[in-house]
Amino acid sequence: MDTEIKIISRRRKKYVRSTNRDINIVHRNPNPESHPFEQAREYKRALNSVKMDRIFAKPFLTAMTGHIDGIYCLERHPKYLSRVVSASADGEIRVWDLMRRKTVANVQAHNQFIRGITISKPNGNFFFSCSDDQTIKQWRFSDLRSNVNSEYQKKKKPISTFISEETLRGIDHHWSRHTFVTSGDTVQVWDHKRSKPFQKLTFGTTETSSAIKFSPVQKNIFAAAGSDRSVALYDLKISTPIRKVILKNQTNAISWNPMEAFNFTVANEDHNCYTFDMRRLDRALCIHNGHLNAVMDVDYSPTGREFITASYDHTIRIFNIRSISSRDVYHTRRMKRVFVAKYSADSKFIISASDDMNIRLWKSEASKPLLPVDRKEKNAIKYRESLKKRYGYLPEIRRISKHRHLPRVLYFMKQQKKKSLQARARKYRNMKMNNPSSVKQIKMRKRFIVKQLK
Amino acid sequence: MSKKNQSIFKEEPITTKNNKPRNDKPIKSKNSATKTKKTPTKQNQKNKNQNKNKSQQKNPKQNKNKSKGTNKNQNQNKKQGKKQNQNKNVNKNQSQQKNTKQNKNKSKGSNKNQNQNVNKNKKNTNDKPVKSKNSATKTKKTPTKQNQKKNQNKNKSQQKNPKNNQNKNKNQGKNKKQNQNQNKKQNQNQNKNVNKKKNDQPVKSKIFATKTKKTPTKQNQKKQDQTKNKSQQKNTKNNQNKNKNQGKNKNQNQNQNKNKNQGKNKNQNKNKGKNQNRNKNKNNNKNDRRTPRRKWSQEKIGQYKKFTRGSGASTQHVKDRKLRGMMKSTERTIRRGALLSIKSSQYLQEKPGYIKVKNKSKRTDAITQKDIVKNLEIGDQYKNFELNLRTFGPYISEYSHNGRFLLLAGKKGHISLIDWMRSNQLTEFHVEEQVRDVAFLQNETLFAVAQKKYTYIYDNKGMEIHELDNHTDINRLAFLRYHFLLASVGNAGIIQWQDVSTGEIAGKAQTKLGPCDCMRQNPYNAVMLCGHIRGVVTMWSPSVKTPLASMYVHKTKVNDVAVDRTGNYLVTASEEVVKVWDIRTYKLLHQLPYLKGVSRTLDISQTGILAVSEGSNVSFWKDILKKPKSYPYLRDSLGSGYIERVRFCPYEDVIGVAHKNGFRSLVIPGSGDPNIDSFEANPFRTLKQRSETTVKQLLEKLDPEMISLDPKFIGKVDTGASKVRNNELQLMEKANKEQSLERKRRFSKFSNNDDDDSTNNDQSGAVITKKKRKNKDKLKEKIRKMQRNVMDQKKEKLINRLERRKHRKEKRKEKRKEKRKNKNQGIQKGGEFRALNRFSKRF
Repeated sequence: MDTEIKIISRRRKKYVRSTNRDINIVHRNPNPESHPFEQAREYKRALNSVKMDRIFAKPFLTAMTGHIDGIYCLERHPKYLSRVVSASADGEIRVWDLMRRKTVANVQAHNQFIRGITISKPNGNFFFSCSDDQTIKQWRFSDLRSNVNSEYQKKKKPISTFISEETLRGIDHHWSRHTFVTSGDTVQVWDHKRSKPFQKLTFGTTETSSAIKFSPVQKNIFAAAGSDRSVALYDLKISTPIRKVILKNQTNAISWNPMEAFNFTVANEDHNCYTFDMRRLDRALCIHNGHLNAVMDVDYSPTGREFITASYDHTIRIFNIRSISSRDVYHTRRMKRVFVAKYSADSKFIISASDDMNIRLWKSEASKPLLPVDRKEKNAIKYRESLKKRYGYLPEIRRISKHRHLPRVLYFMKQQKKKSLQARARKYRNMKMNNPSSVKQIKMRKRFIVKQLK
Repeated sequence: MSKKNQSIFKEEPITTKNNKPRNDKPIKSKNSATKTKKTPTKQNQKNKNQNKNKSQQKNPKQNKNKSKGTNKNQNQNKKQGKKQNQNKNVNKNQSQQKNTKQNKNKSKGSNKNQNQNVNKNKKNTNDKPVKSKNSATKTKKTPTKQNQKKNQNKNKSQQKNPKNNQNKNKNQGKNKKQNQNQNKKQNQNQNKNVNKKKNDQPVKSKIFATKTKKTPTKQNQKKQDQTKNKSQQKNTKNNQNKNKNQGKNKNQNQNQNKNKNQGKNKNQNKNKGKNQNRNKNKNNNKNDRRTPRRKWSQEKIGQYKKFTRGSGASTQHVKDRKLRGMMKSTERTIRRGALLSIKSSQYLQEKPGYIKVKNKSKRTDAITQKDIVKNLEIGDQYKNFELNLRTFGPYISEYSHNGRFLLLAGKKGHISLIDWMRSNQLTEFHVEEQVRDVAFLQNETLFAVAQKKYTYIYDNKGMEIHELDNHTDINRLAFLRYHFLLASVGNAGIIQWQDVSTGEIAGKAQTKLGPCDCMRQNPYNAVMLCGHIRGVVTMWSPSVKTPLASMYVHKTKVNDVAVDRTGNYLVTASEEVVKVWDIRTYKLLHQLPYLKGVSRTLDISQTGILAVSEGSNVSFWKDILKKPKSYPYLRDSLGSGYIERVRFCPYEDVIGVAHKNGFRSLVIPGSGDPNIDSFEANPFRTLKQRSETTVKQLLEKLDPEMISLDPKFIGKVDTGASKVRNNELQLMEKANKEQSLERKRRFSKFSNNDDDDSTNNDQSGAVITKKKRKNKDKLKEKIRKMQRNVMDQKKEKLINRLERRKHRKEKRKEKRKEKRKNKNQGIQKGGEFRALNRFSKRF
């Protein structure tokens, strides 16, 4: 033969599985010509996945009842994922098991408003509560846990009681030593085995500080917020205050970034959160806005990439540490002013406590499935994520992924706030245009700061 | 750094000065070489060599420029055999210096020089067009006797080195960037090789062997016999084999071999040379980051370009660091992805079909279907079959998207759906009406039939599912698979798209070009192409009421159009001519040389084979889209009856020819895409897979608004938007200007009724000019009338007059002013007011 002829001949074996129990044989051809409209189809997939995210966004898991007054303190256990301690305004403390969604133990700890609770670290055998009655009580978990029997409850007594000479507004435990600090008129440093504070720290004038937090990385440093609208840093090693900054509004809570040792975020009364670099307090690293009322609490995720805020406007927001606006907003109709919100230790859940006497459990990623995901689905999710990232700048996709429903009241509040901010900006602009000497140009990140003290 | 700089400044002026004259002269010698190549008589060769020698001796600088000092040294070597080493050193220094210079200049400076060389070679060779164009073939044919000589006289062959180099340059002419690398390398390599030559022979012979590799003729072997160096023979043979294996990439192989040779010789130069090469490569690649760094075959480079999907975004000018980083990383992932898909495409399972004719004088179009079928394996012979359906013809046919199913429709109402690969008929029925066209919908379970009045949708069991009474009197149907749109056009000349999933009409447009019976989709961008009676092809998108583009294609009616799947080429058929167009430029490329009959229908296969019906014959044209051909790849004839429709079967080497008396399936090797993508089109899919893909298809359904000429617009930055915005801004400004002018006008009415200078107000709007025209200025009127770009004498005169008048006016004005001044001054000078002053004479 002088010609050689070959044509495509497909053998069935190569293309069809041998039995029904086999997986289907898949052939891929990377040639772009055999994939027409690939961009358009990818865009469509991205759009679908964004829509699916919104459809499956059901973050609320459960509400746990038990307290008979507003809950103002909440602390997660450093060792056990499901253990949480909460304290309400009537002086009751409850220990919760999140798995069973039940109270494990409860105790009427104080007769007055409990201002703060903290769990001893690193073992987490004890917890401390401080109250308006100027006492700090140390409790052991194992004492409380045994029963909720009324007889036994009488025996539920603190291991020790510390009596303070000053009012107490907040408490936090050292991350490794048997030391804890309380805030009040002055910052007092206590030891487990001493009935009186072994140190008292002040920054010049006396002030009543409220929130107080140890840095989880540099363990000897802690930050305290004062009622003189200040945020002050203290060092236990040299037992002196380091520096202090006075803001325009009061700070309600402080949280340290567990991964970036020198950064901490402050929840402010002026609806914003500010992230500071510990080394330079004269300007904020980032301003996080979005809340429509005072921010009451802030807590970093254990991953250090995100934090949550609880606000007086009945919502919880989740922020990326570098972004100005929030990633997500959580609210339900029955949730009132939220005073505390904490991440769970695995960063998958959010626990919030509010005025309405309930503790609520949320997913931190609203649309992620909680059940274990098999390999195929994992890959599909990954693919969707990358598509969203790639086409996230297109207007339709951005709009859908950003859109969050807000309750009617909040929506109007938002509009109003927007208007007022615009008006302020306009006024500023006009002033700048017509009477430039009267306007001092200050950077956004410095505007809310009154002064820095050293 | 400072040293390098010095070297630059030392070297540069020399090169710049000498470049031009140098280049001029050696070209002559090159020319002579090229001339002699075609008729390599002995005399010529001698002359050539003499010329070479002369030229070298006369102006050794030339050679310096070309081969960087090699020849000079050789000449010296002849005379002073002992001083080789010194010369080597000289060579090294020179080459190094030059290299450093090139590095400094990066690609631009150095490339220019080389490009000049290349270009000039081209120019000179252009005088003898045949040679210059086919320089590659030249090198194949020529190197017989020359090579003999080379081996006989080492020195001469050495002298020829630069010439060969030139040839290479020509060969590589097309791919400049690579050339630059390669040229440099070659030059360097030659330096080294030449240096080595005296020390050891085999190196040299290897080099020549590599050059002659493609034509290992007898003469080549003879030459080797003459040298009687057995070791050489082995080497050369090895090299030849290697080259054969590596097929297409001669030049690159040469380089590689050279490098290898260097390595074997353990020359001191080796390491330095390699390093320099690397440096150069880097420098060149900085300009175009998308070109691969390693040495790749042309094929691989082509693949790389295909998989990277165009050149990437340049990040150099992005100021934002974060953004730049992001962009860079995405570019990186794209490149990585391209490399991966190159790798994966190496492992594709199926190979495309082909016809290889061993006797080269025989053309492929002499091969009949009988011959082809004979050559096929028994398992594949079923692909050639014929259906005789004489009662309900003429027939039309359509393949499903995955190529598994065939829909046959007789014009008199017979419809049958066949799983042709298993020769299994799924359904057959008769609509008892005229059938004009059929189209598969998203899969084989549904298909649309354009009947006498309405269009109907049937399922795979022959059940009528829908009657589409919107689509009346339809001639052609088409289904846009990714948009779920059924497009139709008919005698009313209205093109209409209906969403099959929702039933909405996505778009409707009047072609206004009369009844239409020719419509195909562009598979690249889903734009519909209609061919009209007036010889016009129009392109339609459902979101636009007017054609996106229209092309005047034929003088007579357009019978059929077809677009290939890359979306680059359009083929149109009228009764006498079939033309190939480039849709990107809307220009005619060429037309088929002849047609045996009226061409009613066309189709382009996935690999770009064009099928054209010519009355009762079909011809198949391979690679016709890019360049014209004088005869077809294959042809076939029915004998009697005309062909109604030809359609290639996707993913198979098969074409369906539907004609007056039935249907014929022909085997056309190389027409189908050999490798399927299971997620795109799978002929072997199960029922479950079918339903799943349908769901996915529906989820990924594209909006009809997304149909446009460029389907890739979606991820791009919309530069058009800024243009639109700018236009609006300009319009606004214009409007504002007019407004403000009007305001001025009004204001001036109230405030100032005096006549201003007419020149000032000339530009300001229509109203005023009207007003002005009342007191006519005849001179100006005349000039205005003659407002043209041309200045003639009349106009000049008029302008002069106007100017003179102006001058006069001004003078008068000044006089008046002076008077006023004097008057005032007079009063002031007078100081005291006297009653009698009023009688004094005024100035």
